[in-house]
Amino acid sequence: MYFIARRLVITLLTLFLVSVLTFLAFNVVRGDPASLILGTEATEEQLAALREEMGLDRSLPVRYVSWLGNFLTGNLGNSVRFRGESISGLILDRLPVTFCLACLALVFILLFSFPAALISARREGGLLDRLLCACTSMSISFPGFFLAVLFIWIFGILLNFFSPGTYVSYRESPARFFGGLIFPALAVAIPNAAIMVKFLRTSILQQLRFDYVRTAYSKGASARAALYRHVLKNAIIPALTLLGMIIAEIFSGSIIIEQVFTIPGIGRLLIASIASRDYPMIQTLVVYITFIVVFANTLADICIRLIDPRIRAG
Amino acid sequence: MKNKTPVLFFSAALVFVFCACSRGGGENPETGAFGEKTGPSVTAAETPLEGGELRFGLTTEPATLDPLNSANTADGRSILFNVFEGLVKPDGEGSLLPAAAESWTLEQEGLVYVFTLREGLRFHNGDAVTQEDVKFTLETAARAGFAGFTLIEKVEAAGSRDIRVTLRERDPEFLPYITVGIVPKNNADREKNPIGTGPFLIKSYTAQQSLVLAKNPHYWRKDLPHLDTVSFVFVADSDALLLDLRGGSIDAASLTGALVHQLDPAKFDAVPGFSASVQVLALNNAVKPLDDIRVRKAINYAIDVQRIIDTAFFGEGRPSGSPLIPGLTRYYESSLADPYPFDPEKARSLLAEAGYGNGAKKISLEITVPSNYTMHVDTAQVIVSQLAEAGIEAAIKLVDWATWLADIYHGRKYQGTIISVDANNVSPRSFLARYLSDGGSNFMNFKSGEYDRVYAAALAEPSEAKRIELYKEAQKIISRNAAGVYIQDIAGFKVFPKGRFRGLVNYPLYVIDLASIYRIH
Repeated sequence: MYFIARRLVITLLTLFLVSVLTFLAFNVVRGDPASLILGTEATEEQLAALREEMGLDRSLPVRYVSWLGNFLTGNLGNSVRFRGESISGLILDRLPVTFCLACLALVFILLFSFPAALISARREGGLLDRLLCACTSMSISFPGFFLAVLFIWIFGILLNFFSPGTYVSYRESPARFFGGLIFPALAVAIPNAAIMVKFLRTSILQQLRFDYVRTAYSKGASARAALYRHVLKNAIIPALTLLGMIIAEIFSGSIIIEQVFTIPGIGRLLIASIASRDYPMIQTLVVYITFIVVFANTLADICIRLIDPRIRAG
Repeated sequence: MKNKTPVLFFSAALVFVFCACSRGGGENPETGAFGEKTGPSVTAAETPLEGGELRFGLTTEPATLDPLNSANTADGRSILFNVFEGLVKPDGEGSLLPAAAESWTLEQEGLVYVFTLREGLRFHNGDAVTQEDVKFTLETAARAGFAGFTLIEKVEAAGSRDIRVTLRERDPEFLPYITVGIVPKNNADREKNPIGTGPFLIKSYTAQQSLVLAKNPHYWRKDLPHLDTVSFVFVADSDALLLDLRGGSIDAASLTGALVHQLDPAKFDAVPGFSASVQVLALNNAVKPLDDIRVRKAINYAIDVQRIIDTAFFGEGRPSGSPLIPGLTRYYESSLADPYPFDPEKARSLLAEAGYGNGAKKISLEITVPSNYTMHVDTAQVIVSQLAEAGIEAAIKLVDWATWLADIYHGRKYQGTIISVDANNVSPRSFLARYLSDGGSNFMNFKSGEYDRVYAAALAEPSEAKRIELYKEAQKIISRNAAGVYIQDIAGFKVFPKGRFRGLVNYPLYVIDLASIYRIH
């Protein structure tokens, strides 16, 4: 209980600090939302009037406090770039997209990395192990966006498995929506799964050399039983920390993949907001992403404690 | 050594994939069908079809769907051209045709414009357009500070269908301004519920995804539009445009020459046109060393415009030499096509005259370029190498669009920058007004008393022939003072799948007219 309370305080503190830093950072970055909205035709008077309307003429601390007050009372305000649309509406519209993409990618990562790592570890040095190692080394060195472009070329253009740039909303047809997410999810999953395989494999191999494994064998356990019943549980602990980081990354919007596949998720919204200096939107998105990162890591920590009683005691 | 065999195998597979890619994307016939200056013509075998859908890819989104919001992007205005119509509307030649008004007359020697509202004209929702709606539109635009509208003294309804617009002073060229789209007075939220009288109505808008237009059943021209639906699909960048065109998720897009050459001419029709804007190396006339006219002239002589077009634009583009686009044929001063012929020696001697030479006295220039415009970045690179030949040390500084607008355009804190300047309407003033000494958008800090006088004289001149002469004189003054380096009207292509769509009309304005486009069999 004490542990969870402490983590909660740390989470809130992190969120507060990040929101302050974002506020400061975008005060340093050049560019003025008013001149972006009004464009090249704007007169000085129009610019000044709009800055006043948007509250940009006030001092930085005043603006921050007013934003924080609104944020805490659940009033996120309107987007600057997409005039007339509320920030909460825009984000809520994008969340299911990013979540589905992330969940699908997560399923792919888990489905691939665990069996691959186990096979690889059990046949250390064998042909299959070597092949898998080569595969993972290559997949790690492929950046996700390059895979994305490659997929669009091979499966979209050459083989016509899907039509690049087509996005079907989950409201329109859930089946086609998920169908459209398969390749983006693969592009997100492959590099991450590869890192996971390497990590798990090393971890399993390390565990296999411990004395408790020999004890298990001497008690008559088969290689299979020793691996699944004893080794895996211990090998999974360091991997969980990695998984926490991966989850944090993909749930905060796979920015580049969403951009390449033209998927309207959190990542694309963030890019558009930064390009248009949509301060209220950026501020909310950054808080959201920070929350996801902290939350995923906390979750991983809690899981590790549940699995490993030694950490719980310490 | 352990992993050698599989790695080799996978590298081989990779090489194969790369070959496949470059074969598909690398077909680059320099003299292919796209190089020809004529678009596809209708042959006897092609039967026009009514109805159908066109999916048009765009990399930027409109900033607003309200025609009375003066802050829109060029692409936004280009889309809304199909949704809203003013009392008058430009055609492909730059002439103004009746639209919401079926006719107009001038009274009191041009001080009063009387527009007669088209009979039976209806908004997208079926409501009749009233004199009150027109009055409301014009008055709102005047309050929003639309160009030209400050001239309006009052707007009155007269008779059953007339609208009398009284000006503060005579302006023989008031009509181009009056193209602002008519909206209903009683529409509480123009942003979320856009209603106009144009050939298409807005069916749906989803931020960062699509804007869907549908045929307006009440449009006053019964023969237009041909298409039932036009969907604008918003994509991340021009690479995505190419991919989506090849993959078939969009039908059409506007592309520059360099991009069009990456498409297979056997699969796509490319209709040539121009961007209707002048690409300029803008020089800040107020900062050192550019406040010296000899330096500005030297830079002009050092730059070979044709070589820029050849190197960075596949030879497609129309050299301008003037702040006006050559497409405004009535007003463009054609003697300015090449006012400063490429001459690096002359550039050097002008620089020497101004006190610049080699070593410590070598002249340096920082060119700030908005990084979202690949074409301007490409141009900047060619210019830097050309300037080096004339002994000018130029460096490129890339900034994002937000920074460019704030620091360069509004802040005027720069030495040189490359940008395309477009116009809101078909009047030459749209291009020329910014050079007035006190012009609010005079981001080049151009100052010439002579220019201000000629421009003012043009505004007051009732005779059209004399007015045109004055506009041409104004262009010559800008050129003589070497305000900047006027490069070209960049060629722009509208690309369609081969043999599917016809009827595109090019405008001397940055718009795309969807009403005239139709499918063929």
